[in-house]
Amino acid sequence: MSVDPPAASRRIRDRLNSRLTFLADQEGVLLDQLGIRHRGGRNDGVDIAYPTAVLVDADGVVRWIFQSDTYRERARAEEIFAAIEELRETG
Amino acid sequence: MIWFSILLVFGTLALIGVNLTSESPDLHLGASLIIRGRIPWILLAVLWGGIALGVASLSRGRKLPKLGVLLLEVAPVAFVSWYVILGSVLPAHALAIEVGNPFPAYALHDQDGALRERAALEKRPPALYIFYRGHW
Repeated sequence: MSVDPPAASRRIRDRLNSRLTFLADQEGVLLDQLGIRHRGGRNDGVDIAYPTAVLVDADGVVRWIFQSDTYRERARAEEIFAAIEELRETG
Repeated sequence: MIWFSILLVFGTLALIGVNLTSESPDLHLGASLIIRGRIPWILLAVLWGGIALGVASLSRGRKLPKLGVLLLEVAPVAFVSWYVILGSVLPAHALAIEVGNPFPAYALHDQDGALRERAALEKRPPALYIFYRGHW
Protein backbone atom coordinates (compact mmCIF):
# COMPACT_ATOMS: atom_id res chain seq x y z
CA MET A 1 0.00 0.00 0.00
CA SER A 2 1.14 3.50 -0.76
CA VAL A 3 -0.23 6.88 -1.73
CA ASP A 4 0.85 6.28 -5.32
CA PRO A 5 -1.95 6.20 -7.91
CA PRO A 6 -2.83 2.78 -9.39
CA ALA A 7 -0.87 3.41 -12.59
CA ALA A 8 2.34 4.10 -10.66
CA SER A 9 1.80 1.00 -8.56
CA ARG A 10 1.28 -1.08 -11.69
CA ARG A 11 4.58 0.15 -13.11
CA ILE A 12 6.38 -0.86 -9.94
CA ARG A 13 4.65 -4.22 -9.88
CA ASP A 14 5.55 -4.87 -13.51
CA ARG A 15 9.15 -3.82 -12.97
CA LEU A 16 9.45 -6.15 -9.98
CA ASN A 17 7.60 -8.88 -11.85
CA SER A 18 5.52 -9.27 -8.70
CA ARG A 19 2.21 -11.04 -8.13
CA LEU A 20 1.40 -9.01 -5.05
CA THR A 21 -1.65 -6.77 -4.94
CA PHE A 22 -0.79 -3.08 -4.77
CA LEU A 23 -3.44 -0.85 -3.21
CA ALA A 24 -3.60 2.92 -3.66
CA ASP A 25 -4.44 4.96 -0.57
CA GLN A 26 -4.11 8.26 -2.36
CA GLU A 27 -6.03 10.27 0.23
CA GLY A 28 -4.24 8.58 3.11
CA VAL A 29 -7.50 7.48 4.75
CA LEU A 30 -6.06 4.18 5.91
CA LEU A 31 -2.78 5.86 6.83
CA ASP A 32 -4.67 8.11 9.23
CA GLN A 33 -6.59 5.24 10.76
CA LEU A 34 -3.32 3.43 11.42
CA GLY A 35 -1.44 6.55 12.48
CA ILE A 36 1.26 6.11 9.85
CA ARG A 37 0.86 9.27 7.77
CA HIS A 38 4.24 10.97 7.31
CA ARG A 39 3.30 14.58 6.71
CA GLY A 40 5.46 16.16 4.03
CA GLY A 41 7.55 13.01 3.89
CA ARG A 42 8.15 13.07 0.15
CA ASN A 43 10.69 15.44 -1.38
CA ASP A 44 7.91 17.56 -2.92
CA GLY A 45 6.08 17.84 0.39
CA VAL A 46 3.43 15.21 -0.33
CA ASP A 47 2.28 13.07 2.61
CA ILE A 48 3.38 9.46 2.37
CA ALA A 49 3.35 6.39 4.63
CA TYR A 50 5.81 5.58 7.35
CA PRO A 51 7.28 2.22 6.31
CA THR A 52 5.15 -0.29 8.19
CA ALA A 53 4.21 -3.95 7.97
CA VAL A 54 1.02 -5.32 9.56
CA LEU A 55 0.04 -8.98 9.75
CA VAL A 56 -3.72 -9.56 10.03
CA ASP A 57 -5.25 -12.90 10.94
CA ALA A 58 -8.29 -14.63 9.45
CA ASP A 59 -10.61 -12.76 11.85
CA GLY A 60 -9.31 -9.36 10.77
CA VAL A 61 -7.31 -8.83 13.95
CA VAL A 62 -3.81 -7.32 13.94
CA ARG A 63 -1.31 -9.93 15.10
CA TRP A 64 2.08 -8.37 14.33
CA ILE A 65 3.37 -4.94 13.46
CA PHE A 66 6.80 -3.86 12.25
CA GLN A 67 7.93 -0.28 12.15
CA SER A 68 11.38 1.25 12.41
CA ASP A 69 12.39 4.78 13.38
CA THR A 70 14.39 5.08 10.17
CA TYR A 71 13.28 4.84 6.58
CA ARG A 72 16.35 2.74 5.76
CA GLU A 73 15.10 -0.25 7.68
CA ARG A 74 12.37 -2.65 6.59
CA ALA A 75 10.99 -5.83 8.06
CA ARG A 76 13.33 -8.61 7.06
CA ALA A 77 11.99 -11.71 5.37
CA GLU A 78 12.95 -13.91 8.34
CA GLU A 79 11.06 -11.62 10.73
CA ILE A 80 7.96 -11.76 8.56
CA PHE A 81 8.13 -15.53 8.17
CA ALA A 82 8.59 -15.94 11.92
CA ALA A 83 5.46 -13.85 12.55
CA ILE A 84 3.51 -15.88 10.00
CA GLU A 85 4.72 -19.13 11.54
CA GLU A 86 3.67 -17.96 14.99
CA LEU A 87 0.26 -17.05 13.61
CA ARG A 88 -0.08 -20.51 12.10
CA GLU A 89 0.84 -22.17 15.39
CA THR A 90 -1.36 -20.06 17.63
CA GLY A 91 -4.26 -19.72 15.22
CA MET B 1 48.95 1.39 4.73
CA ILE B 2 47.41 4.35 2.92
CA TRP B 3 46.46 1.99 0.10
CA PHE B 4 44.53 -0.23 2.48
CA SER B 5 42.84 2.88 3.78
CA ILE B 6 41.85 3.90 0.24
CA LEU B 7 40.64 0.38 -0.52
CA LEU B 8 38.51 0.14 2.59
CA VAL B 9 36.97 3.59 2.41
CA PHE B 10 36.44 4.09 -1.30
CA GLY B 11 35.72 0.44 -1.94
CA THR B 12 32.94 0.51 0.65
CA LEU B 13 31.59 3.81 -0.65
CA ALA B 14 31.55 2.35 -4.16
CA LEU B 15 29.67 -0.69 -2.89
CA ILE B 16 27.08 1.55 -1.25
CA GLY B 17 26.78 3.55 -4.46
CA VAL B 18 26.20 0.48 -6.59
CA ASN B 19 23.55 -0.81 -4.22
CA LEU B 20 21.74 2.50 -4.14
CA THR B 21 21.74 3.04 -7.88
CA SER B 22 21.55 -0.42 -9.41
CA GLU B 23 18.22 -2.06 -10.10
CA SER B 24 19.87 -5.39 -10.76
CA PRO B 25 19.90 -7.64 -7.67
CA ASP B 26 22.96 -9.36 -9.13
CA LEU B 27 24.97 -6.24 -8.34
CA HIS B 28 23.92 -6.11 -4.71
CA LEU B 29 27.17 -7.60 -3.52
CA GLY B 30 26.25 -8.55 0.01
CA ALA B 31 25.69 -4.95 0.97
CA SER B 32 22.39 -5.84 2.56
CA LEU B 33 24.37 -7.86 5.08
CA ILE B 34 26.79 -5.12 6.04
CA ILE B 35 24.20 -2.35 6.03
CA ARG B 36 21.46 -4.35 7.73
CA GLY B 37 19.93 -3.11 10.93
CA ARG B 38 19.03 0.13 12.63
CA ILE B 39 22.71 1.17 12.75
CA PRO B 40 24.98 -0.76 10.36
CA TRP B 41 27.89 -1.22 12.72
CA ILE B 42 29.87 -3.38 10.30
CA LEU B 43 29.65 -0.69 7.66
CA LEU B 44 30.75 2.01 10.10
CA ALA B 45 33.57 -0.18 11.42
CA VAL B 46 34.93 -0.73 7.91
CA LEU B 47 34.77 2.96 7.05
CA TRP B 48 36.28 4.21 10.28
CA GLY B 49 38.84 1.43 10.21
CA GLY B 50 39.92 2.74 6.83
CA ILE B 51 40.21 6.26 8.26
CA ALA B 52 42.27 4.91 11.17
CA LEU B 53 44.65 3.17 8.77
CA GLY B 54 45.03 6.41 6.89
CA VAL B 55 45.85 8.29 10.09
CA ALA B 56 48.32 5.59 11.08
CA SER B 57 50.03 5.88 7.70
CA LEU B 58 50.97 9.49 8.53
CA SER B 59 53.61 8.21 10.95
CA ARG B 60 55.80 7.10 8.04
CA GLY B 61 56.89 8.57 4.75
CA ARG B 62 55.63 11.74 3.11
CA LYS B 63 52.71 13.19 4.97
CA LEU B 64 51.27 15.73 2.56
CA PRO B 65 49.84 13.37 -0.09
CA LYS B 66 48.48 11.08 2.60
CA LEU B 67 46.88 14.03 4.32
CA GLY B 68 45.22 14.93 1.04
CA VAL B 69 43.81 11.41 0.73
CA LEU B 70 42.57 11.54 4.29
CA LEU B 71 40.79 14.81 3.70
CA LEU B 72 39.04 13.25 0.70
CA GLU B 73 38.01 10.27 2.82
CA VAL B 74 36.80 12.06 5.92
CA ALA B 75 33.99 14.05 4.30
CA PRO B 76 32.07 11.13 2.73
CA VAL B 77 32.68 8.90 5.76
CA ALA B 78 31.41 11.62 8.08
CA PHE B 79 28.35 12.09 5.88
CA VAL B 80 27.56 8.37 5.74
CA SER B 81 28.04 8.08 9.49
CA TRP B 82 25.73 11.02 10.17
CA TYR B 83 23.17 9.70 7.68
CA VAL B 84 22.88 6.18 9.09
CA ILE B 85 22.88 7.32 12.73
CA LEU B 86 20.81 10.49 12.57
CA GLY B 87 20.03 11.68 9.04
CA SER B 88 17.60 8.92 8.06
CA VAL B 89 15.64 8.92 11.32
CA LEU B 90 11.92 9.53 10.89
CA PRO B 91 9.95 12.01 12.99
CA ALA B 92 8.56 10.54 16.19
CA HIS B 93 4.96 9.45 15.80
CA ALA B 94 2.48 7.19 17.54
CA LEU B 95 0.73 4.27 15.89
CA ALA B 96 -3.04 4.42 16.14
CA ILE B 97 -3.36 0.64 16.36
CA GLU B 98 -1.66 -2.14 18.27
CA VAL B 99 -1.59 -5.91 18.25
CA GLY B 100 -5.04 -7.22 19.12
CA ASN B 101 -6.92 -4.36 17.47
CA PRO B 102 -9.16 -4.95 14.45
CA PHE B 103 -7.60 -3.89 11.16
CA PRO B 104 -9.57 -0.93 9.78
CA ALA B 105 -12.06 -1.36 6.96
CA TYR B 106 -10.97 -0.05 3.60
CA ALA B 107 -12.15 0.39 0.00
CA LEU B 108 -9.14 1.09 -2.21
CA HIS B 109 -8.26 0.64 -5.86
CA ASP B 110 -5.59 -1.83 -6.83
CA GLN B 111 -2.91 -1.47 -9.50
CA ASP B 112 -5.44 -2.32 -12.24
CA GLY B 113 -8.04 0.13 -10.99
CA ALA B 114 -10.30 -2.53 -9.50
CA LEU B 115 -11.92 -1.69 -6.16
CA ARG B 116 -10.75 -3.89 -3.29
CA GLU B 117 -12.75 -3.79 -0.08
CA ARG B 118 -12.46 -5.26 3.35
CA ALA B 119 -14.79 -4.72 6.28
CA ALA B 120 -13.40 -4.55 9.81
CA LEU B 121 -13.18 -8.01 11.36
CA GLU B 122 -14.21 -9.54 8.04
CA LYS B 123 -13.23 -13.17 7.92
CA ARG B 124 -10.85 -14.03 5.09
CA PRO B 125 -7.34 -15.59 4.77
CA PRO B 126 -4.62 -13.89 6.81
CA ALA B 127 -2.92 -11.02 5.04
CA LEU B 128 0.30 -9.07 5.28
CA TYR B 129 -0.07 -5.37 4.56
CA ILE B 130 3.16 -3.59 3.67
CA PHE B 131 3.02 0.19 3.62
CA TYR B 132 5.86 1.66 1.61
CA ARG B 133 6.84 5.22 0.90
CA GLY B 134 6.02 5.00 -2.80
CA HIS B 135 7.54 6.82 -5.70
CA TRP B 136 10.08 9.47 -4.78
